[in-house]
Amino acid sequence: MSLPPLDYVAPRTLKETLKALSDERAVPLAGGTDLIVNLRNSEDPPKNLLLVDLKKVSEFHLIEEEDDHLKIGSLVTLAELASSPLISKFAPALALAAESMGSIQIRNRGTVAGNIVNASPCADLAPPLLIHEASLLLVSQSGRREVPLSKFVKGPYRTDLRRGEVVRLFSIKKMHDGGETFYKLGRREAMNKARMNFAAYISLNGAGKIKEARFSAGSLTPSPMRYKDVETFLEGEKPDPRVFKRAAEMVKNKIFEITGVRWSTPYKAPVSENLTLWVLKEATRIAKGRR
Amino acid sequence: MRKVRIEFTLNGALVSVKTYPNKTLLDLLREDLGLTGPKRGCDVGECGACTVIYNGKAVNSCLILAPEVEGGEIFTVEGLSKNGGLHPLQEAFIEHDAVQCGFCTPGILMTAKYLLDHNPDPTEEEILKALQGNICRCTGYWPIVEAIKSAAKKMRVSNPCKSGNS
Repeated sequence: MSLPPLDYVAPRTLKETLKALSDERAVPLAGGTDLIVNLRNSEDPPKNLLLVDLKKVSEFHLIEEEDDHLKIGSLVTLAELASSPLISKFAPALALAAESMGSIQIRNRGTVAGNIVNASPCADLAPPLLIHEASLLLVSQSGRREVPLSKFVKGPYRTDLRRGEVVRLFSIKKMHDGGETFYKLGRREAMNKARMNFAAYISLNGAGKIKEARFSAGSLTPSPMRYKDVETFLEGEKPDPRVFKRAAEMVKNKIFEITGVRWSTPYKAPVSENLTLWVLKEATRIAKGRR
Repeated sequence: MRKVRIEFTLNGALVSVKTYPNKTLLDLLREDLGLTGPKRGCDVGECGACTVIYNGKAVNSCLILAPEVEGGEIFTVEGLSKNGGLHPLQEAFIEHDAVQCGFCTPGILMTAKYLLDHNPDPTEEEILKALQGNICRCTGYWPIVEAIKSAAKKMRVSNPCKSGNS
């Protein structure tokens, strides 16, 4: 099945990009791994489409340190995230998540902005970005604004991206005092949508108790989210099985409070609880290894 | 919709072609340029039969629009053999019975080339991981893995100092 008729432009600067995106026909093109498939399969594709290829704008491709943050350009690919020394050092859960997605071919094209703006409930980059308090810098011809990721995704396949806006970069907090991990449950080892995905960060204080806890899960609720009540519960506690079991139970209860009991609950309830327990233990193991 | 002119390097030679902008790279290669090596298996980037190497990276050509490759460099399976001789990967695939119907083969050869360009001595696990984006219905994969191991060894022996990108 062919793609709908379209016009194509490839701006080279941010200014040219914003001008192109101000056209009412404009649709931004990042890696294309979702957009091309969606356009091809759409029963009612947009008429008179203008695809604005963002990939030739060099500033969208950078990964840089800025004080206690990392700035990740919107068009950084999954492969680049997975192999970046900065990401591996300061946000390893994000590198693990990127590595878990698709295949080599998909990872060479898919982008961080594409994954987040597509806003699938199972977006694998969302949980690690959320535990790193990611915010997006959005730019348009009328100015710029910074939006926390937690507020940017409004629901399944819906974001706060306004017409004429482009995601310039993601800003994430560097975390390296503790241990963090990412786990994705799927029906196979590659090329799969997560049935559930998790990111956790644990740091320990001098007395061996939990100093900081961060936990996020996706594909279990309409949008990926942090579990702040659970994080608050964990902080100050000993990192032992009894505490983690209680935390995992709290996560499970929160999920089903939001979604209600569904046909998948007999599976998702015990599995989400067990996997929460696993990622908390694993993050703690890594944290202990760092001390 | 107006046609656009696209110029890029294909298998080492500069090409210039005029086509509709809604054409994918896969269709551009097969229909406009007569290279039927890359195959249409799924059109959604899941089977890898359309894999080519674009600017040094293995990608699904069914998910790339033709105008995107302006100024770029593309290698297809047709570019593997040089001066009428087969590439060590192609020879190894024949030797190890890694080709049955052959439909997946061009895509898998390009993924294998990409792997060996970046990792000249891959473990079995690394080969299997690299092949995650390529589906084969016929061989059961093991002949393919053995062929890649064998080609990698031959390529290391003939180019001990080379790090890749041949």
